[in-house]
Amino acid sequence: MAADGDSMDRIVKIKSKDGQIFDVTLGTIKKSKLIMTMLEQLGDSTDAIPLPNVDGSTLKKVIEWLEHHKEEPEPAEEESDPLRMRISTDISEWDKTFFDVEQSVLQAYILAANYLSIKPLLDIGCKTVANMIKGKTTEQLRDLFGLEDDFTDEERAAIKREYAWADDEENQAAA
Amino acid sequence: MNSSSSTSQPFWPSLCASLVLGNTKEVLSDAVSSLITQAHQTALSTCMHSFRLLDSVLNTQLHAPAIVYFHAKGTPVCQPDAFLEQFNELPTELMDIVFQQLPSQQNAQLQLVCRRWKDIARLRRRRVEKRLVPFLTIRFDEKIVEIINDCGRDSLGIFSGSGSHKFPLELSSGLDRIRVRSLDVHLRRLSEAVSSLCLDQLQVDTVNLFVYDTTAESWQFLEQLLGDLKINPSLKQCNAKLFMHEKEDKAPERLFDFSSESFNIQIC
Repeated sequence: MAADGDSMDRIVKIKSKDGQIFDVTLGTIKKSKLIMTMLEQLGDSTDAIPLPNVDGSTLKKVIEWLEHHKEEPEPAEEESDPLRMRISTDISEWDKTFFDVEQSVLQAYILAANYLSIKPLLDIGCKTVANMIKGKTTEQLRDLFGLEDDFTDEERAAIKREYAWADDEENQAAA
Repeated sequence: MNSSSSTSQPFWPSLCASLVLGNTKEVLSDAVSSLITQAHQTALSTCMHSFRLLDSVLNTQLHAPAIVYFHAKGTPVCQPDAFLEQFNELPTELMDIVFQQLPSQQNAQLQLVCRRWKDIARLRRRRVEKRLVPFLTIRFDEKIVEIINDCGRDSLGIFSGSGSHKFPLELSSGLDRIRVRSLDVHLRRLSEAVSSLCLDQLQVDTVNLFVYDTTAESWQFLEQLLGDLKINPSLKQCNAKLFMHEKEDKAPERLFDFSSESFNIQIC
């Protein structure tokens, strides 16, 4: 939806799962593809947009995040080079503080970002989780996530075989 | 929190007592918070081990939220060894995004964790990961292309299980699945088929071209090949050696238009 500078000040009402209504400007909420699509469908209606999958406290934080990042341009739609997509797991200090929360809350942010289709927020949330996984061994990961090794010996061997070559290459690089 | 169960109380006796009295949750909560305090002083892995032990001994979900709660409270989320069981509830598509943020070197570890993780990690691998081949030689002789993986290992999947193989010209399907650090291309006989090498798309750091075909009609194909390499976004360095049969043979001037700091053309 093409929106000029004036319409960015337009107030949009959104309603959380638990019935809280938030007034946000279009400029703030524009990063949410879901809401932009809904606005298009609603036309001139001024009814609050219901968001049955997001609770009030999460929505409040998401709006806070959007406010802080509203001046930032939209990232390119599709990165042509998939390798460039994950150049770094760097997260800005502000975002680090924002995501320094209990894990259930972090998970709620990620789910809300996914539901609302706010890609940059989703990416940072996922990066935060990725940073916890980064550099861990298989054993440590199983321990951390409380997962069971459910492979048969053959399956495990097959995966290892497949990666034997990659391991070799890393050893060479280290040598 | 129940003030009667102080954290300094021995854990197991109070737990047994609580099982009788029915206030297991409080005792566990206290025990867990004291465990966490200990964990900050000792190794976190030991603490994790204790949690697992608790889990297996009690075999109940009752205390799990308390553990996660206390742990999250006492430890910043960025703390690398925080408990992460919560995230098992993330749907596959979101775990996929998480995995995408990780370096490809970790893919093997992710896959070996469990079946679900293997499936998720493979989603991403199909999309992103290209197998790294440190050294690769392509011998191009008009219709036959021979690809030799210089490491001589026969586990190089894309080449149908053999390190040295004769290939028909439909190479692109194989080459777009690898990235190469250093590629040697020996061109004995040039034809329009050189474009099937797809050197404009192959992900490669350095290319060494050895050109033995210096007949007049070959230059246009070489030019095409150099043009492909020139637009290759991943290429950092290209060295081309032209082996002239006769001293009088001369490469056309236009070939040297490709020369640059990273593009070195040499007559031998």
